[in-house]
Amino acid sequence: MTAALQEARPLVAVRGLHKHYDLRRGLRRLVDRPAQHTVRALDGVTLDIRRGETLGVIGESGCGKSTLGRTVLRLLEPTSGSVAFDGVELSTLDPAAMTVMRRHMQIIFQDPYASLNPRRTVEQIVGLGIAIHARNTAHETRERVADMLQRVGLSPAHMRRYPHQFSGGQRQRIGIARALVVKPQFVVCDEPVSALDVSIQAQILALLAELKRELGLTYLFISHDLAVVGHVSDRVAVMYLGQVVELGPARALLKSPAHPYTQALLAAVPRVEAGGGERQRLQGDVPSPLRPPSGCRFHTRCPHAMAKCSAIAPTPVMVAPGHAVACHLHEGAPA
Amino acid sequence: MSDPALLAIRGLRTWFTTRQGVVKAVDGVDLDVLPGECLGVVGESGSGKTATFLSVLGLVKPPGRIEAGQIIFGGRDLAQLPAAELRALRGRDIAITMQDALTALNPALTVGEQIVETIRAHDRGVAGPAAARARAVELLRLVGMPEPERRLGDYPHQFSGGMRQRVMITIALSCRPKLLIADEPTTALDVTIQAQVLDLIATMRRQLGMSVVLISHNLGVVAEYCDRVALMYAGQVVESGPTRAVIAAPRHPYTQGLLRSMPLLSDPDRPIRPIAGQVPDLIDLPEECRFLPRCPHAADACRHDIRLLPAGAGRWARCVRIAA
Repeated sequence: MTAALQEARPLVAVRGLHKHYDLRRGLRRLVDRPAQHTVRALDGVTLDIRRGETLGVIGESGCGKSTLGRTVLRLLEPTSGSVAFDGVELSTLDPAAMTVMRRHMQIIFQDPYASLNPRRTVEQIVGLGIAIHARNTAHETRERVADMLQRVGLSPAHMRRYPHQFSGGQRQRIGIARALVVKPQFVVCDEPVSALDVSIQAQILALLAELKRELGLTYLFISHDLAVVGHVSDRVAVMYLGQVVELGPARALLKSPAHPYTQALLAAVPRVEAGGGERQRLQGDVPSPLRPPSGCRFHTRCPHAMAKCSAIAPTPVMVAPGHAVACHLHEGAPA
Repeated sequence: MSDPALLAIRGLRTWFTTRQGVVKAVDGVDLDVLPGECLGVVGESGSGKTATFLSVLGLVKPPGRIEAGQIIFGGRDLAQLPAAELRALRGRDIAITMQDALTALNPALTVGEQIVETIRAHDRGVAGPAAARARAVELLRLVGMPEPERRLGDYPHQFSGGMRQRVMITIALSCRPKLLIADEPTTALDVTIQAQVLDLIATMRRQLGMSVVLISHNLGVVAEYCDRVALMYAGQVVESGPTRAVIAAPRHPYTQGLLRSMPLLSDPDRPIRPIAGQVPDLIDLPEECRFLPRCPHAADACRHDIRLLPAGAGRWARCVRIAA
């Protein structure tokens, strides 16, 4: 978010990343003015992903967290801004070089039902990455697939089966095996446990943690579930309407959130460990990303909104070492 | 299970006959809903929580069938009631809100038409369309809908997810039911909107003096909003009791495992311990504890049909270790 948050050599460096969608179709592009028909899914995101860390991303539907994950991997082309992976600027790579680069950066999807090809066997699904990225014999490929399946808690006997023969939790294990079989350094986990029941969710979280330790992975962990993100992350970024409003060490951010939006988000989470009672509530819905509010985008729902909040967009300031927040309330705070 | 319950479910079995065999979705459920209380029903996918309350409303569709049990409400057994009488009771005395408001609402009718339809179907006291319409506006205002007069003419797709859920709650409350069954009312909603909708249900419960059954997979939601909780596993209630007591000291190994497998926002470093294995296939279940294959305390004594046993202070648990 700020210069102070940019370290010498992060694994992934995201700078001023924008992803806009033009909703005008056909001749409308000639008639309508672009500004009113552009969804700013990502609107200037700058952050580092450090080697070996889990960076959690939280926010509500439409805040741009999944778009961030996909744009970082260049599964979506950014409108502007840059993503550097291990010092290599991804936008400079031609398609062949990008394919080679993809071995190091993989993704695990939310929906274990929709993200696996129903007409391919587990061996084909998991083995495809090896076929693209390595020149192995069929025998070697099969051995690597079998080994990977065992690592994610499945059996090599599952190789000949199809996705529909597995439960949701097992399918997510297949998705993890597919991502990790090419030995990536960096994995985007896009809501990897959101579709799973609680007891299965815990199994998958434990598996992701174990694989991270064993394989030395770096995760970008996207979730709307604050308790899950708090549990897995070293640092957390909070997004609202395409922008990062707060970024800091996970424990500190969850314990003393600085941005009013983070505070409201945390207050809204129902908890088993706390008694009921009246708490701060956000009024209204998230504004449309087609017409984001002026100034600070949160000012329409913010309990602390001041006159300047609707006029001037706040720039991030440091409220503690490594803890940045974009809010006028904190301007002039000691860094 | 103390009297006098508003709704008393006894030995309910709702089975679905499929080509693969008989799916025992609900298999011996005993449950009370007390007047004015909020009961949370918690369970994972396929635990039978929705099928139980669809049975209460007579909304189980073939091949599903209520095989056994009683559903006592207002002195009558709903399991034996003729379809016409059940139809009159649905919406008037017991109302339900569905998880997905977009598919539950009719996309081709305005929200106003759908609310007015419900009011006029049940409430003979309301004279004509104008009076029903006025009542609809009043109800929408009550659930916190901005500009209710104007929004009556809008279609469901023109509302946000949170507002659609409010519309469903409006329809459910339009005849002042004694019991509201809210089936996963906030599962599709963001956390800040979820809090608004749950607060609304809690407020309406107090204002109308009704009972609420909150069906949820989220133990946190139930912990904050429900007086009592019932946990379901593989078609049976495995534990029930006052919410605070159950969460503070769960008696059934499934409840214990569920709580240990949840990450806590207030204690992110607490290790989470998953429950090993998977939910059993509901076809051809043996007559034994259904949690046995996943239970850390499994013993020979568990290989019988286990009943819900009293576990002190309004609490029940389906585990042989309670008797010991």
